Amino acid sequence: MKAFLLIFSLLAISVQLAGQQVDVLPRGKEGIYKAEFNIRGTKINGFLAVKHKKNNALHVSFISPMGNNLLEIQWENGKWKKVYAIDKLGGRHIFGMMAEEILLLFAHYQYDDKFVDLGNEWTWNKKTLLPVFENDNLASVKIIGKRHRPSKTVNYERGEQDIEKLSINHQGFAFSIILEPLMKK
Amino acid sequence: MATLTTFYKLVSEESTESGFNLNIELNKEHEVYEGHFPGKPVAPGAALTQMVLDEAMRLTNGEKRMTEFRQIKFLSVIDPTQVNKLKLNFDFKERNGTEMFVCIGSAGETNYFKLNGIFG
Repeated sequence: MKAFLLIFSLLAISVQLAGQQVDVLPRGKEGIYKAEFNIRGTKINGFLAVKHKKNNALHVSFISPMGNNLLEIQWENGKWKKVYAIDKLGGRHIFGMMAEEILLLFAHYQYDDKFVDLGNEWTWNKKTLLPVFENDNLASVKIIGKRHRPSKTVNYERGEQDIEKLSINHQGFAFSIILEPLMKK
Repeated sequence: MATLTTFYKLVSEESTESGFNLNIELNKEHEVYEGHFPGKPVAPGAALTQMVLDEAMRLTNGEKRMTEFRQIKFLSVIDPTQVNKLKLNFDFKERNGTEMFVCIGSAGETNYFKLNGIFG
C-alpha cells in the first residue's frame, strides 16, 4: 500500500512538473516591465516592477520614465494594500480596476482563496475565466464577468522561452495595459 | 466505500497523464427516480456529487480524505432515459500546496457537471 502511495505521489509530482504552466512570474522571482496604460484614451507610460514574494504576496511598483514613483501596492492574503499612489491613479474606481488587472495579467488570482479550478474553466471573484494553453504554457485567458458587462482578454506572447509581451484588453471599453519585460526572470 | 452501489455502473477506466477517464452507465431504473421526479426522471445533483466523491476516493485508494467541494457546477439536466452513458474525467493536481481534483462529467460534446474537490 505504501509503495502504491509513493508511486502515486511521484507520479503526481512528475505530472505537476510536466503539466500546464500557469505562473507568469514564478514564486520568488521579480520582473521589470515597460508598461503602457491606456485609460479612456489617456496613455500613461512607465515601468512596472513586480515581485512575487515567497509567501505569494505580489509587490508592484509603477514608476514614471523619469523615475518618479506613481503607484506602489502590495497584494497579500486576498487584499490589496496601497503603499502610495498619485492622485490620478489613487481614485477608488481606477485603483480598484488597475489592481484587479494586475492580478489578471500575472495570473496571480490563482493564489486567492476565491479561485476555483474547474479544468477547462476557472472561476474567480464572480468571474469565469477561460484559459487557453499552447505547449502547456498559458497563451490567453478570456474573462467573462457579470451579465451585460463587457468581457476582457489577457494575452501572453511568448518568444522561444520567456514571455515577451503581456496585455489585457477590454471589449467595448477603452482600457488596456501592455507590458513588455525589460529583463529576464 | 461506495454508497450508491446501484445508482451507476462503472463500465471502463483508463489512466491519463494527470488522472483518469471513467466511462459509467447510470441506472435509469434506480429508485431515486421514483421521486426525482415522478414521470420525469432527472439525475439528482446530490447523487451525482456522491458518485464523484465515491470514485475520487476509490481512485486514490481511500488514502486521501476529501474535505470540501470548492465548487460544483451543474450545466445541464441529465435525463437518464436520454443520457445514461457518461464520461467522468478526473484530473488530479496540486496547486499552491493544496491537493485537489477536477471532475468533468460529459457525454459527447456536452458537459453536464464540473466539480472541484479539495483533499485535506
